[in-house]
Amino acid sequence: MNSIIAILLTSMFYVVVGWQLTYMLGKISKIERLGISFLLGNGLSTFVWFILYRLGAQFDLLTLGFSGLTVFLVSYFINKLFKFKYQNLVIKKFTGLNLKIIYLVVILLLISFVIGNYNPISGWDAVALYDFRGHTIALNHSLKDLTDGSYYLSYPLMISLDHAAIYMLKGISAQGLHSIILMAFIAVVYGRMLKWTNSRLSLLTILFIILNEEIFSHSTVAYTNLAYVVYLVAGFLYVISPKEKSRELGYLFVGGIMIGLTTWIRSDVPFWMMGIVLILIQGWKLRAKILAVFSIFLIYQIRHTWLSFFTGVLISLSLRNEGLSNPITLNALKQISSSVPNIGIINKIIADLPEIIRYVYLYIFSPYRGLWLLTIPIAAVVIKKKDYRLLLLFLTILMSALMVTVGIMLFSATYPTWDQIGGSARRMMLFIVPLSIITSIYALHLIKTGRKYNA
Amino acid sequence: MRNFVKSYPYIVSLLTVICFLLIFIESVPYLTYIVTATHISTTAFQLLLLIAWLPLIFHPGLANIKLLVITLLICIIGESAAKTTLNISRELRNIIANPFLTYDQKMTRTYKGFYSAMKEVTRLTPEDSIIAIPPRANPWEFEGNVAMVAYFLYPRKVINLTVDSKQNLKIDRKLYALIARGASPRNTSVDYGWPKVQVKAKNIWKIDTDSSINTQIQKDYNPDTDQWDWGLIEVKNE
Repeated sequence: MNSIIAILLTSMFYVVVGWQLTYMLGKISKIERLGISFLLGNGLSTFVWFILYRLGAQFDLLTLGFSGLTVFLVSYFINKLFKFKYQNLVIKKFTGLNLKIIYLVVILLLISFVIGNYNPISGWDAVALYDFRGHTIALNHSLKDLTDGSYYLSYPLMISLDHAAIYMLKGISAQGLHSIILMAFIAVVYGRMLKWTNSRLSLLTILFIILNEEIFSHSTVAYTNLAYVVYLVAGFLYVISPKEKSRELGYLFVGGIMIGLTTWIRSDVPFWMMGIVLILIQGWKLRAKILAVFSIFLIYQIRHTWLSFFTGVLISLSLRNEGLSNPITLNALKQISSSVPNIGIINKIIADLPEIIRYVYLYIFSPYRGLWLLTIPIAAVVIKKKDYRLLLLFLTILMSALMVTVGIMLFSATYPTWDQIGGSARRMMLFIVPLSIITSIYALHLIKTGRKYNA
Repeated sequence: MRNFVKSYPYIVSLLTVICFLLIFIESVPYLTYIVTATHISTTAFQLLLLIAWLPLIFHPGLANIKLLVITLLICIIGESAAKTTLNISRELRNIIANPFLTYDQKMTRTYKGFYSAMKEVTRLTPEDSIIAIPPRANPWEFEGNVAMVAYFLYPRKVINLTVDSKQNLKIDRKLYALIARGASPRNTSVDYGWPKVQVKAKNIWKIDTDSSINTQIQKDYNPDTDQWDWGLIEVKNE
């Protein structure tokens, strides 16, 4: 029971912190507002918490409260400055089949919360990395013993700080928070799809996403994969939301923050670059170049804040000659220092090409084959309907396929054990599940309504 | 013929659903014989379907495209919904069977033996001590993992030693060594049981993880006589 109370208290705190920031999204429903304010509050308050720690404060509840207050006040002044106001989009009452779908969605989300809360934390990295860091931070109010090697800092701290907050509130297990992250995402997707399509299709979209076994099972374990998917896809959805010549430019800003926050969850994957491409396209199309540059700056700043800290720890470890023999440290240093491939790497990639193709087929294509196949009819709809938003969604899927293939090529040339972590590569691509479902249902809506130039 | 042309998209759509159903059945353990019995290669079936869909995709209009999107969504969601339902029913059965277990009891069930042993080690050792554990190699993949053991023993410092553990350690704190048989099935020439050398000890404890009773013995550790599933050595500083 302690855990449930601590999780709910933490979640409510995040919602309050992020609430003001949602005003810049204009007229949105309460459900969507709850979801996005939780996600923004969660990411930003833990991020400011970390900044305060670096400035000399401790990781304790008082500092977390202060971090939240800072985010809240900054959002408040932004709203005052740009005259953003609270505007509520009233959702019609659910009836008939829609009501049944919503019941099913709520039941599934509650089941996920029950399972996550009931089960003890298990799974290698969940225990040894994310939750361990949460416990030690709650105990020491610092990163003591976590900076002695590179392993404990191989991922940014957001999820562990979430866990730490729950343990400081005397919770026993923080695992239940991950189903709240899924709930917030579902609320965001529902809100977006309701604006883009209709009530029935938006409900079907969220039902299909929850029913995916990988998404559902990740909401009941304490890994970073689900949180990463949630922030990345929600970020994409907000960036591509504004219509041409619309004044809804706040979406670009919120989308930028969300994509930036993905690097506060996982800094080892490059999909934030896709966010930058989308922001650039939107900035050019919406004639909001300064806002686009500012959003990209936010992404850079969030990523840089963590990476500069991580690099500093690695350098101090190497100066102390500790951890240098550690392969994780060596690989991390190598990764940071050699981002540009040289001729040796290219030759190695060419030599390993058949193996790389097999790997991509086995771990990237095959687990999501149906979703990848959906891109074929979606491409046809993109060509025939010429819908700008669908084009952006389709482009995102294509970019992800390209990026993951190039990423695996580079990875294979630098890491000797690259072909032994296929499961990790599969989980890295988890975001393709909600992205493809959203894109295909949006495409279906366009076919059904016969809309053209829907931008 | 005209009827066939009219119903062709629906036939291909139905065959696609059947193909996905076969792939799903094939992926469920112990049911592979269904596909083996029908002699249908799902890979070849998929390729044929891809070819069958091609003329439909390039057909003018969006009706066939819509059908393809719906068909694929039915396949994808059907497959994942079946897996999610199985997962949920398994988890809920477990919860309903044991609704009031404490977190400790659930951890004991999840990490059989290991969790109880770690709890005993925590109880028997001071927080500023060092705990030596086996190398992270077969058969100690789990109990030799520093990060995993540290989760349960923190703030005690956990260090790996080698198989024969004849390292010279410069230790300024109380040193303990875990006695661990090895929980993973053996697949190398290295035998079960660690440490494999004699250790001068103040105390040794035999930990019985089933009864949670440990036996304290004041003697040196001898690998020939003290090979227990779990135990602890308080190393004598010399």
